Amino acid sequence: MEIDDDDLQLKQLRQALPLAGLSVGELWLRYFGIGGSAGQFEIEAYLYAAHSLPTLERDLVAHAINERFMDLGLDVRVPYSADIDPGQQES
Amino acid sequence: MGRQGNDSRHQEELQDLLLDSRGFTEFMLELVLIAASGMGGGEPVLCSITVEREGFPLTVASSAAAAMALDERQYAVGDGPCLTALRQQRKVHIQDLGAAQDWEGYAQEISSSGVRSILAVPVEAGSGTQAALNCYARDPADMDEDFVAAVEAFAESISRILRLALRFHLPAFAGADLDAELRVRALVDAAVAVIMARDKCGRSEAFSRLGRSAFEGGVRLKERAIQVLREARRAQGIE
Repeated sequence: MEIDDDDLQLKQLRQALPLAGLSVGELWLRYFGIGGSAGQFEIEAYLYAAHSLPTLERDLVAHAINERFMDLGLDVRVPYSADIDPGQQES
Repeated sequence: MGRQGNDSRHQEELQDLLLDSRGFTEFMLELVLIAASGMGGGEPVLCSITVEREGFPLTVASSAAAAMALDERQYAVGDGPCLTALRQQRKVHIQDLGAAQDWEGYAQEISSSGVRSILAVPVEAGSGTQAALNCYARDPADMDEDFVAAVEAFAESISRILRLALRFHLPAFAGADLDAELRVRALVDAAVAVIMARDKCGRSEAFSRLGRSAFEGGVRLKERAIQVLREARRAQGIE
């Protein structure tokens, strides 16, 4: 189910955030930098599971934190939607 | 014509250009315009962006020096299709300059250029600033209906890049951390505009394609964006 997939991605994202050493504001700035269009409040709400985001926006949040791990040389990655469900087609 | 075997050198040049804040605006917009110039089916057209602030028009970027010269003839006479598009915020499409009585003066001014068709489309550039995307073609057949529609969609898609680019000149942004993020953002937006022109698709589809290729390749979005922009330059025979 899509809800469960979203939860898995979000769960891993929340686990990764302290490791990345980023505040929510810093994460949002990086997400905005790579083209994200949701506002900081929306990202904050998404992290608290109080707001859902379209697939691409969720993947961009994941990518923003993954780029941070690339910078840090850490072999940690938050999965993308396609990793969780390879058959999924974006609408 | 293209030079061979300088991929890595060019990559470095692009990175340097990216880091050079003074040249960044021009660099970014120039790449976008180069992509736009190839949107028609025929020969590449000449493209430029005019920005007017407090009554002073300025060409902020062009796909070729000749496009800037064509703009400047309009500034000199104080009238022309791009100034009209910009000031009246409406599309101006002149299919055959020779037959357009409204533009007789300007037609004479630029007769030596061989340009026969002109398209100027307003670009949303934020408050206090007006902008237009201008295209010049020697063959009217290069500016068919499809081309006009593509340029209109394109003008909409480059609004944010232009606004970001113009904001770089504001002192408030100098040295701020936000500056780096905005630059990456402008780079990503430019690559999306290039993909729109190349693949003839909408913004969200173009962005989705760029994003997915970065996700799947496990590379930074900025790196993928630079790759797209570099390929666009190569396709235009600039490298």
